[in-house]
Amino acid sequence: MKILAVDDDPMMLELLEATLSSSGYTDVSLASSAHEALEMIDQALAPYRCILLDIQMPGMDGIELCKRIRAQELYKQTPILMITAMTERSFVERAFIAGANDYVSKPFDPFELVTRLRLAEQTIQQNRVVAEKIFALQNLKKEYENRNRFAPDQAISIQDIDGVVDEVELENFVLQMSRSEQYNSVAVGFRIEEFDGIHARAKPSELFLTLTDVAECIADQFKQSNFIMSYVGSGIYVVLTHRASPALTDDLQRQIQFAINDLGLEYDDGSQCRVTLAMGAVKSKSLFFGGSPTATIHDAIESARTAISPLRLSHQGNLHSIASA
Amino acid sequence: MHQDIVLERLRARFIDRIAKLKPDLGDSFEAARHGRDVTANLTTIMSESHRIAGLAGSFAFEDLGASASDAETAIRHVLRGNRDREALSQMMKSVRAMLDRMAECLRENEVRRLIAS
Repeated sequence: MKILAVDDDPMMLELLEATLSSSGYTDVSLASSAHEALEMIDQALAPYRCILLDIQMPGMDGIELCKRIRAQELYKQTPILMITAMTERSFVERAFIAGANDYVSKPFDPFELVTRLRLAEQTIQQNRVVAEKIFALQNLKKEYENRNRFAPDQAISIQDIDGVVDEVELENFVLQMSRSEQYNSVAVGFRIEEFDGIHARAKPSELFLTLTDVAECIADQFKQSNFIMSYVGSGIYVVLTHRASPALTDDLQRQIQFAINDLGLEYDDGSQCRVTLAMGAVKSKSLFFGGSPTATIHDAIESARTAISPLRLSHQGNLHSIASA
Repeated sequence: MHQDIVLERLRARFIDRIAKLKPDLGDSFEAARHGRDVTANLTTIMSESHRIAGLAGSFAFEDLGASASDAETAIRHVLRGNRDREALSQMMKSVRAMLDRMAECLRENEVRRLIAS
């Protein structure tokens, strides 16, 4: 273990070196002042694994030195032991506040010093194990994200929300409906605006959660009547419901948007993930004209694809007013 | 074995240091007692007491280490502005005790040296 010992008394440094060496710690560097220690730390090819500091030294004392060492990224976790003849509690407390891990009183008992060093060594190993686990977990997460990456236009399966099914199931459901049931049904599509931007920025897991949250907000508005809905890719959802569904009001898009805003969606880095929903026209099947039973769904999807949210409409209106003013 | 040799050498150097320091600290103490450069002289004694307190015990001079620690604490108390009769008396007593211990430690060492020779 590479150790740095700092004390202004050369005799104390030699005593430390001899004690450590007799216990097998032979890689010990000695510094007789805080400035010399900082220089040695700067120039070290490999970081010191443990640092022993005297508290009372002329010029910069051990507490200030401890603070400066802790401020360096490489030494955030390195065990720092204070070796001090200062019996006053306030000095020891200040040392701990500055980032020291432990302290040994002078005159030090060699057995105690070595025991504390061994504890420090264990801490290093535990930190290393934790760091390795974190690293492995990050890699696993990255691998998972890469494996689960999906194209913006891909229809992914949203689970565990009542009424939400895959696109194929939605179509199968429509295909088994009677003609009158088809007539009594309407389809309406919703589209997340600027979905490509969100897709490019969010990790697959984040995007999946966002799509699930938005699906839940839409489903919540329709839950008073029978409905079935699906996510069809490109940020588009399609809902099939009864012609007389109480959800189908002029206020529907606004209610869903409120619910989405209330979620306070965020990216993993904590920045806001703005989701604005546009709603397409409500589409229904003519009683007299035939055509594919699933045409209503496709019409609703196409309508959603070109729909514009009221927010954007009002923004465009404002721009128009400014331009024409 | 190697460590014993190193420790024996360090012990010898520590005694040399005590031998050199004792008269110097005695002079600083007398000067401070007579009001000359009180703060500077007391600071010198305090800082040397601190060093002795840290090392003496490692060379089997526990009493000297303890008295040096007392002297350091008492001087620090006075240097922080506690100049009442009790604080000053405690400081003088503890510095004198440390100087006495230093003398004792040198005598002990002399006896040991004579026996060894």
